[in-house]
Amino acid sequence: MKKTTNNPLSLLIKGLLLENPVFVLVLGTCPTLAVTTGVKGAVGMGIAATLVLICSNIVISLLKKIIPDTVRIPSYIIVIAGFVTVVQMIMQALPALKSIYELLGVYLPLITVNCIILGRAEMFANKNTVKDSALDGVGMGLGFTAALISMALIREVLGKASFFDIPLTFLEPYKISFLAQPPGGFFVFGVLIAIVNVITKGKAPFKKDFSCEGCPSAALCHGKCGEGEEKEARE
Amino acid sequence: MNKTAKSIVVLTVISLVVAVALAGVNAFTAPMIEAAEKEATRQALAEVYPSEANFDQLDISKYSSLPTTVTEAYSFEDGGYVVKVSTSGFNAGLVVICGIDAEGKITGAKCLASGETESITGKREYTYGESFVGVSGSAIDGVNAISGATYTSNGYKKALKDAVAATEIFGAAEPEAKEGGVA
Repeated sequence: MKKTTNNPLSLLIKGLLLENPVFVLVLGTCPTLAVTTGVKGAVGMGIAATLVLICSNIVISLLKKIIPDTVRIPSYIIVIAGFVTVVQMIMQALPALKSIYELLGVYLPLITVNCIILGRAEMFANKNTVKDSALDGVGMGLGFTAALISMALIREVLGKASFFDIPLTFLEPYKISFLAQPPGGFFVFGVLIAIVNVITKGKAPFKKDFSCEGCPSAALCHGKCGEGEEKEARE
Repeated sequence: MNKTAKSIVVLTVISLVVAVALAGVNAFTAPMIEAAEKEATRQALAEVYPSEANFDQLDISKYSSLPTTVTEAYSFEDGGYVVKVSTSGFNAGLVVICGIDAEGKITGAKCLASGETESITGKREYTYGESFVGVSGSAIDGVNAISGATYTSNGYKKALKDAVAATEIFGAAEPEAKEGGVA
């Protein structure tokens, strides 16, 4: 595993591009595809997931020496589920957030099993200080939110000819409805991953550099899952 | 302490702490959520019964003689009611919500769902309720039918008559039965 650079600024900005949780680490794909049909839902999901990510990273970092290795995953899930439920109750209670709560629907409680949050707990928070873990949570949360917004912008503006649910009538005759549908989500996702790959060529970490320790399939692939792409990139 | 025991203790303590924290947040947010839900219900009911009076949802299982088509009912402090009825027109699945004031007159009726044949009704059952505003229970049959959709019209009228009959049962019920309502 690559040694982590714990410079506060790099912790904050690495999630935006080099270690973007969606386009580089390819985590949290389910909510990414589901809520990016509109910018409003993308912003709501991004903020909710960021709050949970920061809080869970802090608590897991605080408890890293207390939680035995054998029960670390259930312990993390309980902590994350607790924060998700708090966010859910607050969003349900505040009239200003009620519409976003209803818009996100089942994807809000599903933040509990969002791979980004569990992944950062496993890859970062349980090995680093509370401050660094909090900064990592902010950085990864911002990266997740930025990824959701960029995807939602393309899908809503070009696929539905609207922005934040405001109709853009001049785009109506040119809209590509396919982009707002599930296959269009995969298409935009793939295109954005390709763009990020081009921009970060040779600089982004390879899969085996960040994911093997926390990956449930590590025992099956013996840490070889990222070798192919690493070799290809080096060639 | 061996590893297994430590794992059990740590997991239990984490679960308990999270549960207590959630109970605390719930105590703070539950009244706000309840108030917001009640306001949302009031706004939905206001479409057929515009009233600022307090209301309660009635526990319809306590009224044995109620028409079986009645699925939900709300009682307002000013003597009015809102009743939701699920019945059949030509097909099953005609759901109508109806507001009835203290004098027994219909203040509004709205079709919430319909299984009727669209090519016959032209979805006119969704606006048919406007014809019944101000009509009392005995005059429901006198309202013009949707032309060419007799079964749908009769089903709609039957739903409204069931709603009016239900309010008469609620009105005649002992106060204790009404107190069983849920807010």
